[in-house]
Formats: sequence, structure tokens, C-alpha cells
Amino acid sequence: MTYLRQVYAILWKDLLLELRTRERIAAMGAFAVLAGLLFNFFSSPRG
Amino acid sequence: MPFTVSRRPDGPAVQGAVEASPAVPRGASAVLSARGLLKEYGVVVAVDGVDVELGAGDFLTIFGPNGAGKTTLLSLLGGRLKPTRGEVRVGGERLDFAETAWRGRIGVLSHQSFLYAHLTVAENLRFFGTLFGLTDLDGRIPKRLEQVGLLDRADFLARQLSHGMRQRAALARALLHDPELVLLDEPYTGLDPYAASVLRGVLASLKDGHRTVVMVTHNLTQGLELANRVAIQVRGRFAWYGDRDVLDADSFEHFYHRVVENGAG
Repeated sequence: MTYLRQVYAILWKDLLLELRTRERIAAMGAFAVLAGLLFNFFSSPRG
Repeated sequence: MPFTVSRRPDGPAVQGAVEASPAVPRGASAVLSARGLLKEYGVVVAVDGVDVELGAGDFLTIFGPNGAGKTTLLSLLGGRLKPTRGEVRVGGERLDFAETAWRGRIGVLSHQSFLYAHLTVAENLRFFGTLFGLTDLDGRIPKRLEQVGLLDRADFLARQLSHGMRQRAALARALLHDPELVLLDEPYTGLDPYAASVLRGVLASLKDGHRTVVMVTHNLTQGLELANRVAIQVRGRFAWYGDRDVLDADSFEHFYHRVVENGAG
């Protein structure tokens, strides 16, 4: 139970920090677009 | 002010020094016990054969020049570093790096607060308190913040606090789990005289007879004020270790320089 509370506390802390600083949102968005683009080329039926 | 005797039993005498005493053997009542601590980084010996034994209510201040190994020693005593040789016991329990339960017996305050800048003071305490496995945080957090005079700043972001306030908030975090042993590493660094005075009052409240405190500082006056045991560390070793009562505050600076020169020679 203590372990789960600790995991939750770390998750809560990281999410709260991100909501307040938004430091990683832009980097995550750029990475997501890039990953999607690469995956699109990889899975294209024309090869 | 004439001094009398020497430094450590196996070391050269400091002419004009005061009587050093060995670690007081407290046996089963020792809260902190360290024997033959050695820490090497390659060829560099940062801590060299230090023995410490402190009971409940003891307040040890460690002085020493830059590079003497004071912070390394504090890290060894707090279990943040593993000694090359020797052992540390807190409450009779050996610091076993495979276990974590003993960490709840130690509170640490560094010269950096290590608070999350974008969390409020109360949120910081709640986070660290949860990591310590504390469940009664609604009662503990206001109590600790009141102790350090920050109850009215509980909802301020840590980055909105002054350096002195952040130090006090970090002290509240260090005391949150009611540790038997409190380790203070240069707590006065960067504080203005007023902030230092406020912090000194809070540190004085730690002398409640139940806690054991070890403080590292360069400030001779502030270090002597609260201590009942004093050590002067030079080149990794305790060049002098004894009771505060045998030291004269007015001439301590002169004595300190003599010990350092002798220990470095």
C-alpha cells in the first residue's frame, strides 16, 4: 500500500509540475508528430 | 588567552591548544556511531579514519577548511555515500545499503534546498512525506511549518520564497518524519544576518534532548553557539575533537587556525 502511495505521489508531482511549467509539452508534441510521420512512411502500401 | 594541550591522541601536539577528548563511549545509548570511517576516491582520501559517537541531545559542529572532507563525512553519516572502510550505525542499526528503512531515522538539510520550485511549500512537504511513508500529513505539515515560522507561506510556490525561507522550508522537510538524527550541511550559506538569526532560532529548537544533530559550517561563531561537541577536520581527519565547554569563544578563531595549520603541516 505504501509503495502504491509513493508511485501515486511521484505521478502526481510530475503531472502537477508539467501543468504549471509546460516545459515538456512542446517537445512531446514535436516528437509525436515526427513519430507519426515516420510511422506513416514505414506503413505506406506503396513501400 | 593561554591554551594548554593537544589534538588527537596519535597526532602532534598543538602548542597552546586545549584538551581534546576521545569519542565518548555511549554504548547502547548511542544514536550515531561511526567507527574507522574511510572514504577514498582513487588516490584521494577524503575521509581518513574518523570515529564519532553521539547520544540523544548531542549537537556536534564540524569545522574545517575547504576540501577537508566535511561534506563527504556528512554524506557517509547520512548514508548517501558508502564508506570504503568502516561502518556507521544509527540507533544501533548498521546502515545497510540493501535496505531503506533506516533512512526514515535521518533528516538532512543541505545548503541547497532541493525543493521543487513550482510546487507550493505544503505540496513539497506532502510529496516528501509520502515518500517517507507518512500517513498523518494533514497534522504534521502545519506543525512543522509553524515550528520554522512558515505557516503563513504554506501555499506559496517554493520559487516565490526568499533564500532564507527556502532554507527553513527545507528544514521543515528534514524534520517532517521526526528523525532521530539531523544532518546540517552549511545551513547558513547565503543567508543575510536576519535570516541567519531566524534559522539559528529554529536550529536551537532542535536541542530538545531527544535529537542528535551534526552540523558542518565555516562560521565559527554560529557553529560554536549551539554545539556541545566540536570537531575540526583537516585533510580528512579530526585534527581536534572534544567538548564545547573547554573552548573559549573569544579565542576560538585563533585556536582554530593553529589546529588547521598543524593538521595541514
